[in-house]
Amino acid sequence: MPDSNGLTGRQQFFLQSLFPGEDYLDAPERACVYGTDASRLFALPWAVVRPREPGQVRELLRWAQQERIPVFPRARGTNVVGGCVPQGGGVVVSCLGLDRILEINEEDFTAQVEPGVVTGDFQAMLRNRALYYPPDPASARFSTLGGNAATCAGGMRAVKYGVTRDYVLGIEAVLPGGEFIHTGARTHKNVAGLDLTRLLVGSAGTLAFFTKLTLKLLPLPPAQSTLMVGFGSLEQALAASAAVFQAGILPVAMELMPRETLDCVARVVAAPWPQNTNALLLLKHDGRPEGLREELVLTRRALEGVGPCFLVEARDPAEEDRLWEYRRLINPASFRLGTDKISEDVTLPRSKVAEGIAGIREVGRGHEVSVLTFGHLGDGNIHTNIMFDRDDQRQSRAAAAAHDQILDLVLRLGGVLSGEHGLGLTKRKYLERQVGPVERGLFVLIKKAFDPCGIMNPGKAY
Amino acid sequence: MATHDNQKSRRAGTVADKERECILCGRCLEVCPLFIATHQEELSPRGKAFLLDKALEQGELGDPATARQLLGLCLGCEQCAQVCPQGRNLPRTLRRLKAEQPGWQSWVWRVWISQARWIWPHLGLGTCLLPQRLAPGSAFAGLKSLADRPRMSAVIRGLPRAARLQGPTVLFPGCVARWAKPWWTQTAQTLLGSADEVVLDWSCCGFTLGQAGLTGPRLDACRTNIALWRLLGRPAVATICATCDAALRGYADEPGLFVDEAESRLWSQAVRPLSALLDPGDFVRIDESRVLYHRPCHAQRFDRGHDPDEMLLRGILGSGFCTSAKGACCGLGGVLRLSAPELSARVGKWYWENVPDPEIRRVVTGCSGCVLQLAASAPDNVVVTHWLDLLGPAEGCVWFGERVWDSPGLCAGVSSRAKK
Ligand SMILES: Cc1cc2nc3c(=O)[nH]c(=O)nc-3n(C[C@H](O)[C@H](O)[C@H](O)COP(=O)(O)OP(=O)(O)OC[C@H]3O[C@@H](n4cnc5c(N)ncnc54)[C@H](O)[C@@H]3O)c2cc1C
Ligand code: SF4
Ligand code: SF4
Repeated sequence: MPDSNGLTGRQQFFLQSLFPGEDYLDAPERACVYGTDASRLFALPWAVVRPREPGQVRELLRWAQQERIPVFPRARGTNVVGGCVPQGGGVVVSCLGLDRILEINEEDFTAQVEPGVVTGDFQAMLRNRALYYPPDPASARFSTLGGNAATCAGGMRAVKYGVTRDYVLGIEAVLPGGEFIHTGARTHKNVAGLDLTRLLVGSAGTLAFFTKLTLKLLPLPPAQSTLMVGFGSLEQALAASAAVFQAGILPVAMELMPRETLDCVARVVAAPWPQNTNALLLLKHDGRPEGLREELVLTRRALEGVGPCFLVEARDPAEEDRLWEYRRLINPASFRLGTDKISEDVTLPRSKVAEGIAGIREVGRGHEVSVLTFGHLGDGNIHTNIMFDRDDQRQSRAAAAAHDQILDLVLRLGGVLSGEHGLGLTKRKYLERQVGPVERGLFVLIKKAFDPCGIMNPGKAY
Repeated sequence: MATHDNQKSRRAGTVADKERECILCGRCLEVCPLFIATHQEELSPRGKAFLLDKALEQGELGDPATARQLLGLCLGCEQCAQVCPQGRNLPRTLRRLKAEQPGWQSWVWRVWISQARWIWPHLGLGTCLLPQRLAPGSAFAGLKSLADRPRMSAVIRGLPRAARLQGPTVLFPGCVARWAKPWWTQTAQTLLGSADEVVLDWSCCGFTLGQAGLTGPRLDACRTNIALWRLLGRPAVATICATCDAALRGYADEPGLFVDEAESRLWSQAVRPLSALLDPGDFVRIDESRVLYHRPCHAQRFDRGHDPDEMLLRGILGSGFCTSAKGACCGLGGVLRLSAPELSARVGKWYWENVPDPEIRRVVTGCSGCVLQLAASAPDNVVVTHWLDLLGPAEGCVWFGERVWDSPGLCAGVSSRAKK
């Protein structure tokens, strides 16, 4: 067994009383899955607790600070950076039992939810009331609003609608020590004091445990459509993308799939694009039907100016979904190129995307490893997958070297290490390449102000 | 550092399945009824995939017996297999594990036999398996109570049509229809235009036997059924239970059951759900109340994920049709009903708490196990039946009396016939 249990009998007894029955676990067979997440790192928790009421979280954090027991908040464990892994040992706190939608206020355009609500379920419920919560990580159907808030998850719609941070108006959270805090408000504007809400969003469970979120909603755009456009070269695709923005159009989403990615997807499904396609753009638009029609005319004109080799438009949701399925297949298809991957979600200024992609490809070629670049072209968030086989020593070394070089390249171009996934456990060591010592010093002070004993998700993110 | 990378020793594993390793992505959490009803990650497909890897293959965790017990807590619904990007199928892996484990089979038999009264129609144990293992009469005493046909009003009616079946077609009613709900057999045969025929001596479809790791008895059942099919001249086989249908179709994947590739193909083409042979245009709705359709987990998915029963009923009922919530499962889960009745009950409870329309009074489905399980957990004011029980007589005909299987010569013209 990797870890021995770090809790005394008395401590175990306390937890069992606070979390009766099956809400407390410490048998390794049951607890083990709570020690991992989509990063595939693992450390066995000392214990797992499953609160059903915010009051239990308060009691837990009061006790944990007193006893100096590390606490690891966990939702669906779909983050890919080890954000939930209880490295060093401690108590994992699952928030899946806190899953009530407390209020949907159609007048204020706000909702109050507990952190364990599944994002996709929430969105489906809003849709029935013609309301809209735009943040759409690809994991929306199986990750939670709390997890999304703690990671500031983003998705394809970020081009037009922004990311999770833009939709969190207020947070109720418990501090280590057991104090409840209430940040923000249910108004769409609020400038009183420092913006703790925006600080907590993306804090990766290192500052406080969220027990309630106040979210901003929009009216649901009644019409939408998707365009899939193929080009003979990557340069053309990038030029077409620029032409769309120059025409004054802000699409909901603009995704790029270059040649290597297309080939990879074509290994698992029959591809609709012609042979000579070297780069593909997927664009989504929404709005009122009249406005949407005009937007589409302008967009098509901009795209056609660059001379695409292939273009399809989908207007009904099922048809659209079929086109987006090719995008969703990239991740599973990527494993056809290697059993293991280093996955980066670096983000570049829009103007540097072309240079960035070319540079990343060059690095891959130089080290003889397969590198896939694809993703959110619209906001410069380029997913980079370095594929390799861990059992092959040469490949492993090459992948690590390529990875290092790619991060340097991105920072040199004015980009950032992560646009969506965060640094968690896996990339924390790279932080100093992007953030200076003074700023990192502030991070430490802020962490101390919230969590003086360092028990909240220690060792993560910064 | 206490953090271990799972990736390191993954390939040392002994799992010989075709599927690739679990990447812990969490997609399966969306669909697993057991996880949805409990929020317990250790019961999720991802949790079990991880445990399998850690405990049984890498031997990293303490107690394999606890691990196996936990792994066994699965409904066998295969929802996870439908979404997993790595092609993993937990029930398939578990079937293999159970079959390999000595002691498991005798445990299953012991429990089955001691609880046979209540469960045996669920488990699809045909007469071929039961009598020699049970005290005479005991199972049949249990059966009698199941065989009382509930009173209920008809919701749809068949229109008189001439038979349009493509070729000889026989009914595979499944154990529940055959032994506990004989009027389903009767209705189905009437729909097929073969009301007078005797019920053929099929064996169990083998589904639950396989799921329980009882490989030998399962293969015996498969062989008996294929032999009978040959004897009948390899006719089309219409099913009225989605689980039987899935099990029968599965014969084609089993090496050694058929004489050659051609016969195996013929079998695959022969097995069809009865609903796929019917045309919604041959029925009329005679009652306005809404009906909730429960899609059995083993139902075939055709066009855009719809199954044949669903397409038929949607076609007939139109706006009076609705389906159950995402993740809804009856909770039967093969042996889970026995090994962890409280979990099975929780899945059932979740089902009724998440019915999309509180006004629903009638729930129908096309799987024998689901009918029995849902009927047992339904609120008092809700009736759960097979969709066949929605059927009333064609105009001018007398159809279901209280004991339909006694009334001779049901209106022969009633049946709606095959489309193709
Ligand atoms: C297939 C796949 C696709 C993905 N696509 C995207 C994408 O498009 N965009 C994107 O941004 N991400 C994506 N992700 C990553 C992941 O889904 C997101 O990071 C998501 O927000 C995590 O949500 P979760 O509910 O799984 O949270 P978890 O992974 O359980 O937790 C994430 C972090 O939040 C903290 N946390 C959880 N609950 C609380 C709480 N109540 N209070 C305080 N802290 C808490 C945890 O400690 C952890 O650090 C993807 C992942 C996968 C597997
Ligand atoms: S969907 Fe498949 S790969 Fe993903 S977590 Fe579940 S079992 Fe593992
Ligand atoms: S078969 Fe069903 S119950 Fe079992 S793990 Fe898969 S989805 Fe869950």
